[in-house]
Amino acid sequence: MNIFPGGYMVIGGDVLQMINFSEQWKHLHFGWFSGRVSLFYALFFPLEAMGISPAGQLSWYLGIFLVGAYSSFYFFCRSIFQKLETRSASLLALFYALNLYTLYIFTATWGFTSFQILYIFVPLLTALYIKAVQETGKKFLFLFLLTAFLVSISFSNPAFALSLALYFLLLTLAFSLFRVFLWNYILLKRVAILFLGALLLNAYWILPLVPQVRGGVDELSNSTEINLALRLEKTSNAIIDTIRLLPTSEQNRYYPVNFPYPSFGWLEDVVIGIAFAPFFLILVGLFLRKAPSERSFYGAFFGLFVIFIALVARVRFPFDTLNSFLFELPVLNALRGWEKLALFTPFLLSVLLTLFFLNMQGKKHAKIVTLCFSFLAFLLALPFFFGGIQTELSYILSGNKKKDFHTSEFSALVKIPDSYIQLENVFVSDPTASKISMLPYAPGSSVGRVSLPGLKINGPHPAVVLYSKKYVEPNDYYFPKWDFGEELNDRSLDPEWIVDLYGLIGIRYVLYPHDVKPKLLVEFEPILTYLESEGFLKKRVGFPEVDLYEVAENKVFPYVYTSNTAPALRFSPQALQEQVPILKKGVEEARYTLLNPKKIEIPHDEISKNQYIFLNERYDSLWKAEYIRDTGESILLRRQDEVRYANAWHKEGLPLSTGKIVITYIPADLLKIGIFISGISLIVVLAGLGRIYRKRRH
Amino acid sequence: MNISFRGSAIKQFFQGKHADILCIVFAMLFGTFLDWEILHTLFFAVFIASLVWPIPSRVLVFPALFFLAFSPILLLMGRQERAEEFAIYSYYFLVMVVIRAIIEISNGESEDGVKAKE
Repeated sequence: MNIFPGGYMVIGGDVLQMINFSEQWKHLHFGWFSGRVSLFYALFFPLEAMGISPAGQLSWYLGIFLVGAYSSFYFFCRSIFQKLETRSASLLALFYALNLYTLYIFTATWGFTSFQILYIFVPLLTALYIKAVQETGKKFLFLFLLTAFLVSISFSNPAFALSLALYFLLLTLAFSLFRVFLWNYILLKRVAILFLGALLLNAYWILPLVPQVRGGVDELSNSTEINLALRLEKTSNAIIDTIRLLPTSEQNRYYPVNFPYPSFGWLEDVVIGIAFAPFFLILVGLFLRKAPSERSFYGAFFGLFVIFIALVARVRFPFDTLNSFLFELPVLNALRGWEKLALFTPFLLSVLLTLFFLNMQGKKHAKIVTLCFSFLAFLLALPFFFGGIQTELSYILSGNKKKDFHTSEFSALVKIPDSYIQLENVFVSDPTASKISMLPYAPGSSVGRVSLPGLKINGPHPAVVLYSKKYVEPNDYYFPKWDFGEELNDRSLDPEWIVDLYGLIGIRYVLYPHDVKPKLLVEFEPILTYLESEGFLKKRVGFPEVDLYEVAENKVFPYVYTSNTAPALRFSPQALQEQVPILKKGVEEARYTLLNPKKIEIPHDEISKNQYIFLNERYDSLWKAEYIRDTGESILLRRQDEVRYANAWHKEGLPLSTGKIVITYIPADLLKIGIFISGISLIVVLAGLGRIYRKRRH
Repeated sequence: MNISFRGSAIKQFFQGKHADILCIVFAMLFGTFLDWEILHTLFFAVFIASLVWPIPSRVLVFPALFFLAFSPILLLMGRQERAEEFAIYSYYFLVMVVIRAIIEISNGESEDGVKAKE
């Protein structure tokens, strides 16, 4: 069975298992997930508090997902197709929970995050939507709205919210065309209430997202147009794969093409072939005569599946012309990832299978068909029963001859040495808001990923979740259009620029892992020796796996500081080495109070001497600074947009004799308004449900 | 030479279906005009035929099944592109099935395309 080995956690690709909740919680809440993801991790917070290890929590991810998907689809079957036999409902719910797509989720490691949780809500939401629209009472209306609130935990990536909206739009259209919904004023009113209610209940994350999306859309349409077209082409899915619930572009990494049982090698072709069987059954079901209501459902869901085949195909014949236009439209371009739309195909396939079995019920060969389907469904989900989802079947191991996470070069199951964890003792003793980074530059397979073969990591650096201080990844774009990491290992440069750069960003601590490629350590050795000998870096702690260095005090810029100049720096090693020390001379640290990670209060006297105030956070135009007088009157400070190494504002002759300056992140402010709107709406929904429940009891 | 079609099966077939035939000819010309491959033009003509004659949705499932049945075989033979090509042909028929099914349901017809008695 799938029990994860003790002492390990999941790190791989873009996935980093969330741990250390007591420390990370505030970042989750105020970070770019704008609160919605903190609802999901509220499930794991108590587990950690109870002492369940990260490896133990992995089983909870799997359990929550599979039990959730099963229950959700079972509820769908029982509420929409009441004539369906219980054993068929159980079998189909099991198919929905255990299929090639869900296997993909967990072998690709996405399952160990909140990203794919929408999958368990799709059947529940669809069932409640149909009930809420078709039935006259308010019970299902309120239940749908409550679920529409809970589903927001799935929107870590808001593109999933967009895909869900698109799904419901197409579902409504299909139901109208196939006469499942017979439109009249009441029906229209109910759909409008459901839509508006869902919008209000989700206001708490939609509002903070609006300014971020505006920025994101601009960036997409201006700078990455070519990449978008390329991405659409790369993630395009062949029809033969969509109907089998497989990703075309990476199928060699996933079961059954990546077959983990060498002793049963002959079974691989069988499983590849039988993956077509569920869709064949659906086509046979199309031919069978059906009752009028079942016929409408069959037509609507089949029509929807046909549309989703086209959408998931992206830029691929015969859908290329239409889809390249569609997916390059603003907002819709957010759906460029394969799984954003493919996530709905297992549900559509399962519903159509349900209708097939409903139709077969009582017929001559029904039992044989059910038995055969059970067997093939079991074969398709074999690794769920035999185990090895991450230890043998992880996509990271797919290129290895022997699929074993112990012997492979990289693995998504990673053991973090105690020495890394002990470093936190140094960080907690430092009350400043300084940051951490690493040396040498050891990029992983993509931006934001680090390669630490000694720890088998090719993914995000574990420091992101291990420590109370922020980690700056060198393999990322901290500065617009300059990946400084690429130049960190360059021995032809004067190494002093590295500490100038790190100091400018506010990096006080540098991790020096011994687990990077040995070649990198050899290459970087002279640079490190020079930096140490000149006193720019000082070793704080040393372990066999990692050393911790501290950047010289005179190089580190404070978190909040003032200056009489705010120059626009040129981003190159030579330019920084020349300009940063000059800038540093005029810098004065400012006292501040951190009200929350996205709100900083500075007393007025701190800025009275200098013209500019700086916040040493990554440049983001959504930070704003306000001068608030004692009377409550507030004046916005003018942003120095040419400063891209931090966030800077000019006080512009303001007297600043009394009051304070408050720096806030605009989305965090909107989060409060959103929480208020969603909170009120949730109270209304819960009160409505409570009233119905009370009435029933009486 | 005087060739008479009177009473022939061909004449019976074409009698009263001039508009329908015109539609199919138009479909063929349309495909030629857009420089489609002959096979795709033929599928388009079948699609038009499925609407004008009409062909019941249940019947259209057969060619979809027929073409799709080749896909797993071709895939296991290592002919991935051919397998996808046959799946595309199958997909064309699935689209026809959906469109015909919408028409049948909105016209109150049965799955065989027969209009239900009032």
